[in-house]
Formats: sequence, C-alpha cells, structure tokens
Amino acid sequence: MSASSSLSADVVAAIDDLELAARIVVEGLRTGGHRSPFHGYTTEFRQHRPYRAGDDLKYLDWKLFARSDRLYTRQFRETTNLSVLLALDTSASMDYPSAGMSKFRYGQIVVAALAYLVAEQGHAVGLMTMEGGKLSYVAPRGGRVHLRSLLARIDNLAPAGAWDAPHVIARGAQLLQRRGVVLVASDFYDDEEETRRELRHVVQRGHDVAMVHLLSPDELTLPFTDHVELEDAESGTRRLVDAAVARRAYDAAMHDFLERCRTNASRDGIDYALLRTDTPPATALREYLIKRAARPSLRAAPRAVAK
Amino acid sequence: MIWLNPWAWLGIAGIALPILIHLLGRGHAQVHRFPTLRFLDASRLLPTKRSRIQDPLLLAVRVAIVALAALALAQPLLLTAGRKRTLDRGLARAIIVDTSASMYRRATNRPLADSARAIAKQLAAEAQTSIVVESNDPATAIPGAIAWIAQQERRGELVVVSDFQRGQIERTDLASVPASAGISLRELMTSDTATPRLRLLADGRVTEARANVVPTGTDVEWSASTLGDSTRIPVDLLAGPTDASALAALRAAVATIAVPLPIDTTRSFAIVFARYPSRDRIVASLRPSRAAWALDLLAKVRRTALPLQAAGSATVDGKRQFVLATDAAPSSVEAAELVNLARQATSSAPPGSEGEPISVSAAELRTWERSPPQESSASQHRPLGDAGPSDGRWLWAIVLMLVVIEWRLRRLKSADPAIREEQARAA
Repeated sequence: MSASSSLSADVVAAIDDLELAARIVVEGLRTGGHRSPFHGYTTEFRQHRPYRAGDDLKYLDWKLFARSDRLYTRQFRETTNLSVLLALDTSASMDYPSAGMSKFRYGQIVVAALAYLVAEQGHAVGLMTMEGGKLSYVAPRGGRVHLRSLLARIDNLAPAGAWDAPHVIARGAQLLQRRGVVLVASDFYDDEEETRRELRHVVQRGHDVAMVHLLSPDELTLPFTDHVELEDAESGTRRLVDAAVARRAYDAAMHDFLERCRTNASRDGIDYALLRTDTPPATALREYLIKRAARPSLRAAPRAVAK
Repeated sequence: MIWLNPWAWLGIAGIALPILIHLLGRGHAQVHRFPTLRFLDASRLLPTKRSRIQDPLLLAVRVAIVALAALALAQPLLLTAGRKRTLDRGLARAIIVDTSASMYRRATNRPLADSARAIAKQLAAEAQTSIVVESNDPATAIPGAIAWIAQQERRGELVVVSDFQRGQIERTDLASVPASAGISLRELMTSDTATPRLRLLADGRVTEARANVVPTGTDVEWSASTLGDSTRIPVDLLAGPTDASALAALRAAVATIAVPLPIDTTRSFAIVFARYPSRDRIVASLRPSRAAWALDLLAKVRRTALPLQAAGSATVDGKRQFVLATDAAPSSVEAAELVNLARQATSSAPPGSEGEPISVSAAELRTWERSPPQESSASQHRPLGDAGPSDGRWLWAIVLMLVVIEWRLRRLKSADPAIREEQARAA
C-alpha cells in the first residue's frame, strides 16, 4: 500500500485542487493492484485455443508455433466504449459536518476520483447534478481536456437548498444515449420512495446503476449529549431535542433506513455502497471497487469471440 | 492552625462567580445544524430543562479553584509542635503563679492553683527560657522576676497567673517592669459558689462568719467558739539571760495581737536575738528552706525592712525549726513586728479577704498588659522563616492541578462534535 492510499480523509480534504486529490486517490487504487471494475467494450486478448480448420490464419500465434511446434489461434474479447454518468447530491444536507471533511467534499473527491479512473481507461464520463435549483449536465465524453473540464465543474459545485433526486436521475438516464453506468453519490435523505422508483426505472432501461451512500459518523449515531435545538439543514425547521432520550430511537431509525436502502438496492439490482466520511477516500473506494468487481452481474458482459 | 493573612478569607465570596456563570449559562439550548430531522421521533422531543446547572463537574472544579485560592491567600500555617517552638524561640518568660488562699477555691473539679500550675507549665514549655515562681503574694515576686528577665539576652515577658484578687497585685506593682519586657496577665475564674467563710480571733474567742448568697441578697451567719490549746503560739524566742524581762514584755505584747486560725503545727519558728549564747552555732548550721510559707515570711520581712541577719532551717533544742536571727533588741518594736509576722506564718488560714475575693476586672487587666517587643526589623520574619513558609503553597499546588483539570474538562467539552460544529459555524 502506498503512502498516498493511506492518507486520511482530512488530509485529502485539505487538498484544494480537486484534480490533484482525485489523482492521489486513484494512485492509491493503482498501487493496490486492483483493476478498474468498469469493464468497457474494447478489443483485448483473452486466450489461446488449438487451431481448427477454417480459422483465420492472421490470428495464428506464430511465435508460439515456433516454440512449441503446435498451432494455436488467439482469441479476443470484443468490447465497446463505456459511458459513465456521475450524479452528485448538492443539497444542503450534504454540507455536514461543517468542520472537517463534509459529506459534500467527500462526495466531490470520490466522484472526481471515479471520473479520473474511468477517463484514464478511455471511457466516457459525464456529470448530472443540480446547481441553484436547475439541472446541470455534462455529457459523457473521453479525453483529458474533457476530464479537466469535468473536474473543474465538480470542484465549483456548492451544497445549497434541496435537490430533486428523482428528476436528476431520470433526466440523466434519458440523456445517456446508450447503455452505461449511472452512479449516484448522495445521502439519499430526499424522496426516498420516489428516488428508489427512478433508480429502478434506470435499471430497467438496461443501465448499470450504483448507489454511493455518503454519511458522516455523526449521522450514524446522534452525537449530542444534552438538550439541543436542531435545525434541519434543508428546510430550516428547528426542534428541541433531549439527545440523551432521543438517541436510541434515532439510532434505530437510522439503522432501519440504511438496512432499507441496502435491501432495496439489492432487490432492484443496484450496486450499493455505504461510505463513511471518516474513512480515507482511497481506502473506501478500493473496498468498494473490489466488491463491485466481484459482482458478476454488474460486469459488462464481454463476448468472447475468436476472430 | 493559624492564618497569616485572614483578610483573604473575604475572597471566598468569589465562589459566587463560577456559580453565577453556570446559572446564567444554563437553559439556552445550543442550536446545531443537522442534515435531517426525519429520524427524530416527535414523541421523544422534550422541552429543554431550565432548572439544571450545566456541567456540575466543571462547576465543582471551578468553585474548588476559587475556594482553595482564597484559602491559600489567607496563608494557613499548621502549628505543629516544632513550628510552635520555633515561633516562640527567643522569648524569656518569667511566670509567677499565685498560690494564695483564694487560688485554692475549686473550679469544677480542681483548685485554681492546680490550673494555674498547668498553665504555667504550658507557657514555660512554649518559651525557650522560662522560670516559674510560686508565691501567695505575687506582688512580692515581681522584682525577682524582673531581675531574672534582665539577665536574659532575649525578649522578656512577665506572666502572672492569678485570680487577680483586688489589692493583691496593682498597676503600681507592674510599673517597675521595664518597657523592654512584655506583661501578660492570665486570669483564672472560678464558678465556685461555696459559701465564703471568715474566721476571726479576738479576746480568746474564734468568731466565724458564713455568707450565704440568696436571690434577694446575702445572709451572713455568725458563730463563736472559745479558743483552745491549739492556739498556742509555736514561736520560740531565744535571747540572752539579761533579756528575760524584755522577752516577757515582748510575749505579752504579741499575745494581744490576733492570729488567724487554724495553727499549722508542722510549722515551727525560732527567733534568735543577739545575746543568745548559741547564736553563732545556730546561724552557722542554717540551711536554706524551700517551703513556700518560709519564703513567703522572708518576703514579708524584707518588704517591711525589719532587721534580719540570717534565716534558714536548723535544729534547735532537738527540734527542726525555721530560724530568724535578728540584731533587734527584744524590747524594740521591730522585734515585736518580727514575732508577729512569725506568728501569722504559723497559720495556714487565709486572711479574711481571701474567703470572698474581689477580682480586678478583665477589662482593667487588659490595660495593664503589653506585648513582648518585636524583634528587630532585620530578623522580624525569622521565626516564621524558620518555621517554613505557610502551608498555602500546598493549596497553590492543588489549585494548579485543578486548573489543569478544568482546562482538560473544557477541552473535552469543546471536542464534543456538536460544539465543534457550533464553533465552526460561528467562525
């Protein structure tokens, strides 16, 4: 494991340059020796098989014949380019905690790192989110220039107000011109049922859908000990809460919420991952990508063909 | 324990400050921004309590800091035996214990004289150098005590432990005490309500007066009895053969003077006049007597300036006697006075005034007192310095530890994520 991969979440968060932060995270992934789980549609060598009459002679492996005195035909996997659409929650609830690494900043780094990773593999990557209550879309494309532009766009995002998750997801899936990957990074507090419905629709349209659930440790367990007045980050409503009394119910409700998200995602064929903001982004991403790579149903189904 | 700076106790009022801070700071629930309130069950929401002091542990630590700081400023000094000795070093104390009859009244379960001796012993132990003189006439012992103090190269203090019966010791008696010496008067009081008695001898009869204090006044009960053989005067008058007539006249004259009863037969006196044949041999055999009554007699003789050539204990005619050798003629007034003093000394009965003493008021006694002189400015703080600094330093050490604990508590409190978030928002 490299030094960069072990950088804490706070250290990575302290890096102002999002591109640099994304590169550091991706370098951490690379040194871990993990392949990208986003299998694209390229042409790559797969295996040898004994030559059969009728096989195209240009695929004969002459070097192997010279060594072994046997005829083998090279087989290739035929793939095409992958389009990845990243959706990042820009609601005010993502701006928590206000000190240290917020969920939003963590999401920016994760999304940027994924964009970097996907672009480096030659795939197309785009962005769908909301800015100032309006949809903001960057069509998936490849290339370094596009990547830089995309990272700058991600970097300029700021959490504010609410975000219409169903609308963002549905519109993003519509704009994807061919089958691809839709990855949503959010705390999924908004319109839980409607969001689930839209994600299911996207899956039904043949896209590979991934939910990256971003939460801070302070949300998993109520962090307060005394009487506090809590203000909803998005609606601004306030409630007086005796934290000592309310903690147990809060923890149970949060646990139910997470369990519901996980179960529904699994049921709908959606890839689900919970990322805590106190985990270094590289570590969290590596674990997530390993799990994702281990899911055969989510791999791009390559067709093994002998040319 | 003593407090070198007792005014600092006023600082204890400072504990009101942290209490006020914690009281005023209570009840205002801090507002925290939170991503969502959807998981907070409405039924579990409670209004913020406003009757509770916030952070009782922190408050306790802060109160302790203020209280201990006030105590430390007051500079407590634990008076251990060693420190007390150090503080009293350099003090020469002459202690006169009144052993007059009035001091044998009982206070609770023991005579005042015993209490006086105990006090004298304690006072003597506290001073570096001391002398204790017991006398049934304290005024006569004062010159000797002053002379002793003058010989000491230390701060002097004259202490009189007495019931300060009126007439026994007066301001004029203390006037001879030099200004360089202090005067301390320890008055002993008795709650003895025993009936005061007065016995008088007159015309061969003993008259006794018994006073009973009743709510409406004082009843005096008189009784009289005939003087018995026990009133024989055991004073031997030894003179030359040519003085026989003078001696007879002297005896006749002295017999007319009343003597208080009862007679103490263990006390035996002999007065040796100039022409007594064995006078030189007797004088040569004289030994000093330490009996209080003998010393008391000598003090009275000297005070009245009677001619006395020698005095002491000796065996005369096979009997142990206290001998007074005088050159006064048996027919002189001085001889009569000397015999009279000796006769009075044969009685252990107190004078009539001792039965119902009137004491000098405490307020008046205070005006007679004065403190021993302070040491020179250069060594003024030496006793305390020798005894070590005040114990306040230990309190300061505790205060320092509490300050660290208080700081840690505040750090822990500020490390609370909720408060951290609040501070970040404020920033």
